[in-house]
Amino acid sequence: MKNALKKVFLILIPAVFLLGGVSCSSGKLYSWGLYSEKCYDYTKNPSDWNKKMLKNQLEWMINHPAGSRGVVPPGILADYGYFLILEGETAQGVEYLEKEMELYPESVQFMKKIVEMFKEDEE
Amino acid sequence: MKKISFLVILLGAILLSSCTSTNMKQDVYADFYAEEPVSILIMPVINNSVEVEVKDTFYTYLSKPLCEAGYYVYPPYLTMEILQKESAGDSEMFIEQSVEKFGSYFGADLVLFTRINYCSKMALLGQIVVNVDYILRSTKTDEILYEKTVEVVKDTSIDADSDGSAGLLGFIGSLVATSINTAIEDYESLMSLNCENGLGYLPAGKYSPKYGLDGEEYAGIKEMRISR
Repeated sequence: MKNALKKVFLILIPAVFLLGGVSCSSGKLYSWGLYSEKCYDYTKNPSDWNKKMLKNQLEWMINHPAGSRGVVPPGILADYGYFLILEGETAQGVEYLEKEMELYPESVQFMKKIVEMFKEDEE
Repeated sequence: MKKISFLVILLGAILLSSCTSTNMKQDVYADFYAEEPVSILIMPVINNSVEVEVKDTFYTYLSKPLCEAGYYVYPPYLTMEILQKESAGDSEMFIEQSVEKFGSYFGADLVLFTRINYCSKMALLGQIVVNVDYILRSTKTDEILYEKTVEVVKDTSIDADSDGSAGLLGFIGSLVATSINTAIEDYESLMSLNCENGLGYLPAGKYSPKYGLDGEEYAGIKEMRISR
């Protein structure tokens, strides 16, 4: 009897933890790397160095999409494009805004306005 | 055998009860589910605390939990630039007004307002307290669809005189040590924790695998206090 009880515990207890973990939690949708830290550093001190570090982080996220969705998180392509435009690389920046529209159709209304605005500024 | 059956039932009940609740999202956020929002615009933070710096840094914490909840979140830096250009950088002007204009300009379904009520280092109590309101309003109806107030408290006191033998000097020493400790300690980890809890009970958005399936999950309470 004692052995039977032991067996039941040995099987059930890990199963409870495993099932509990599966049913109550889930993995991240996206891979963020050091995004929060770099945003924080740049916001606190918007120096050229911190801007470069944030841009590198965004670039890394664009080139290494992961998480359960396996795509770049919302807003990242657009913010990267925005930083490029600020540096005078308007054509390349607009490409990233267009990529944001392709990946996230919810952004189309806003992105179209922004693309027009930056193109007008350039002219 | 009866004992084994009882244990199986008991463990099953524990497993089920860990994921069910009476305060369910589908009841608390019924209007939220009905609107099926997809996109969220984050407004600049309203800072009622005396700490000026936290306004901008807190903004950087908001996008990630909303994306992870399954929503499209407008690009934080580009959005901030446009809001400031359009003279909409002061959220206090809009929190009580119609937010419909943000729907028509950005295409956003929801607008997130956050208000830091206080962010204080209380040297006498040896505590750091961060208290924030989270308000999500519909751009279609102007209704508040989600609202939470979260207070995170961290005890930073240093017990310099545990046996009480040093009297007043010990107390002053402890106070100075606590003060230095709280000066070094910044608010950032508390802000991040506050944010995770403030936005952690949102119904899942369309990019989440839980979309439409989380109605029976716990909705959290409207005002919560977390000690760390």
